[in-house]
Amino acid sequence: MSVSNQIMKGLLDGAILGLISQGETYGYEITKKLEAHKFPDISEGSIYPVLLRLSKKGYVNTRMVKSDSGGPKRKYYSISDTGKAELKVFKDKWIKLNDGMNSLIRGE
Amino acid sequence: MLSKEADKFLTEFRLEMMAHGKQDEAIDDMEAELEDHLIQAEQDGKSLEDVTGGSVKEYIKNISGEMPRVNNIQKYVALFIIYLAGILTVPNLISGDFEWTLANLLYYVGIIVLGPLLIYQAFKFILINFASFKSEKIELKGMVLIFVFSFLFMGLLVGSIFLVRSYPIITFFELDPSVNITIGFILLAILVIGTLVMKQWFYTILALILAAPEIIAQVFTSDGPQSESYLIISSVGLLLGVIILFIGSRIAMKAKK
Repeated sequence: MSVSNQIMKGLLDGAILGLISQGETYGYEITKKLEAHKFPDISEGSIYPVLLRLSKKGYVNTRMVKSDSGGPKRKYYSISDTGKAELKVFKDKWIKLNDGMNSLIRGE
Repeated sequence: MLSKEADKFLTEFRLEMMAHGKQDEAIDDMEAELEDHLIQAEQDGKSLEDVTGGSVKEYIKNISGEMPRVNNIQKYVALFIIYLAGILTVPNLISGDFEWTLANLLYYVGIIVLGPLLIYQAFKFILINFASFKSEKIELKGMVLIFVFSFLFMGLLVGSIFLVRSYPIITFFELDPSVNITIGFILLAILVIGTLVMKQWFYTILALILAAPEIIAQVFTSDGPQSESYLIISSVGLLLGVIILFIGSRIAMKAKK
């Protein structure tokens, strides 16, 4: 895995947790929101390993909702209290990292 | 409403997860989630490739890494291998003509290790390409392939038995048929008691059905397993057993639904 890919992998976890914190949502909606926010370079499906990881760590709560039209069940995600705490840590780190990286790159 | 490609992908996903011992509930949830996603993505004009990022195998591997496994999977695999070794050797032992040769033991190790792998690969290929879990249907081509594969597989087994008989490599010892029969019955008792203790009724019945033809033939004939009457009784018994098992599992499936 290249350096830039590793950065993406770490940030995607934080980005998705951030999206879920804005309100209960589901897989396809998350990819649409990521697109709308111009989050770069991810295939849609790569959110699912992230979602599995987030729920394994207890950062999100899930519930399955039956579809009215006879289609598959839909899984909804909402943020948990530990998720909120983790998101706060992530945001702090990101702001510091962002500042640091920006000044580093501009200093080239 | 779901494209054939996407349906294939979901089938492959389910099979891979089952083969890797992932928890049923987690598989069901993830499958529903992926299906839900694919339906919407395809309605929006996106392809399966857009969703998986190109390689289906790579993508399934990525998800697999995060999926929870059945607890103690190694224990179940080990138990299953012991059980398989048991039900394969017991009928032969009870018939009395089990050969204690290197070739014969290698033959059993071969079918226990390679058999499930071969069957898994073949069925995976057939189910992904010619079947759908959603509609629970297999195409005619798939049925034909299953038949051809089963035929070839049986041929391989029978052919190997002939090879084993002709080339024993090393003969460890020759046991009196009565000793073999005794060992067979002791093993059968262990299998039956073991599966009963674990409340796996299906496996108890399967072991009994596979051993029953040999026991019946042993009781009703006096001239040993090579004789014509013995062969007829044991093969008819086996056929009946398979039919009973098939009908039984059908009824059980219906009752579950």
